[in-house]
Amino acid sequence: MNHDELSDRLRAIGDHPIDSATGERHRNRIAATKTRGVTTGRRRFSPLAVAAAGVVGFLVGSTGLAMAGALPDPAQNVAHDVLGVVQVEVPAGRDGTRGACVSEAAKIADEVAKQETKDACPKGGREGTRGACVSEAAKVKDEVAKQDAKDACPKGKPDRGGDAGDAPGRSGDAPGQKKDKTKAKHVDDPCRGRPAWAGQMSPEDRAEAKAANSREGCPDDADDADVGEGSEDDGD
Amino acid sequence: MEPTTAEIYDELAPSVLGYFRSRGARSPEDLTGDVFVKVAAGREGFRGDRAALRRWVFTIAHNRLVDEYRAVGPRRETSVSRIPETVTIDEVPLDAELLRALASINEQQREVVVLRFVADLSTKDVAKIIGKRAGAVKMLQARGLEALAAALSKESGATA
Repeated sequence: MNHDELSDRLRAIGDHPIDSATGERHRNRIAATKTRGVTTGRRRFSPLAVAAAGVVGFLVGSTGLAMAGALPDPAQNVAHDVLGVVQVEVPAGRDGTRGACVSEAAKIADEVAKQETKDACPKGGREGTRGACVSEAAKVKDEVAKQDAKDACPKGKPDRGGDAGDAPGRSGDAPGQKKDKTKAKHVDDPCRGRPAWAGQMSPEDRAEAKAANSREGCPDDADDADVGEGSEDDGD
Repeated sequence: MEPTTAEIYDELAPSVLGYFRSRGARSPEDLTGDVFVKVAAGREGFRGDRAALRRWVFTIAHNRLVDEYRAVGPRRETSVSRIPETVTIDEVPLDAELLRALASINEQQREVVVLRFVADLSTKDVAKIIGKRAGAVKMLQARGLEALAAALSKESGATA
């Protein structure tokens, strides 16, 4: 079979008539679509409606944020001013940032007024911190009141709960072994350890302590003896 | 003057139905109805001459068939045994032998051959619809016709 004959047979498939019942059914479906198309075939939302909905959504959202005071300060101030015109109360921006306040104060020509305004500005980032609190406390003249004020300040860094000697590796003890501070070294042996009369005390107290803890009966220190003998030898 | 949907239907519905039959669709009459429902819905937005209109209608038909294939899945291949020996519609016999031969050739070749001859589209239009270059369409067409002729010879030999 040649290609011309084949293509004619193929075209004949495309020319085959549609049976009347099927054609009628198709026409009914098309007519129903055209009728429906008048009402539902149109675009559901016009671009204008979409844009209007977007604007309304933006306004509602930003007003909500403004009412919650959640906008950035400049935007919060604008929202406060604008919505105030239409009797909608929203909080103003904090304006309370030190930078803005100081900038405003810097515009004042009178030096004294300028300084007063600056001093009236809220403190910056350190406000409420231990550093700021302690600085304030340091200005108190009365020592007791000063100490009370310092004690009332919030703690800065976490309290370690002890001195450095308690930290393993810094005490000279093996890790996990704590020094018993209630018991001084060689407390039962008057011949060893720190003499009782050492340290700061009055001469009377020292003499008394020396008498009570005499080391006259104690054996000579072997190391001292060695050193003494050696030095004598060297001297010869 | 723009043709009405009824005029478009009268002119193109037989070709569209033939296209679905040749591609081995399971329900060619229903799919043809679907195509013209879409044509009716989108006709107001269509701009173009008659050739463009034909291409647009067969693009809808092609896409509808792709949807159908996706819905049916791997069972989509036409079963040769489903096509009866003689098909008569309104007293006009349908070329069942040719339909069976078409069902036996390669899918891409069948698509091109059907769009070129049953749908009566140009090579360029077929290329646009199936998303291939004109050269590829020509090659598929030539190989498809060869395969179809061979299949028909085989079928004739089997029936003889």
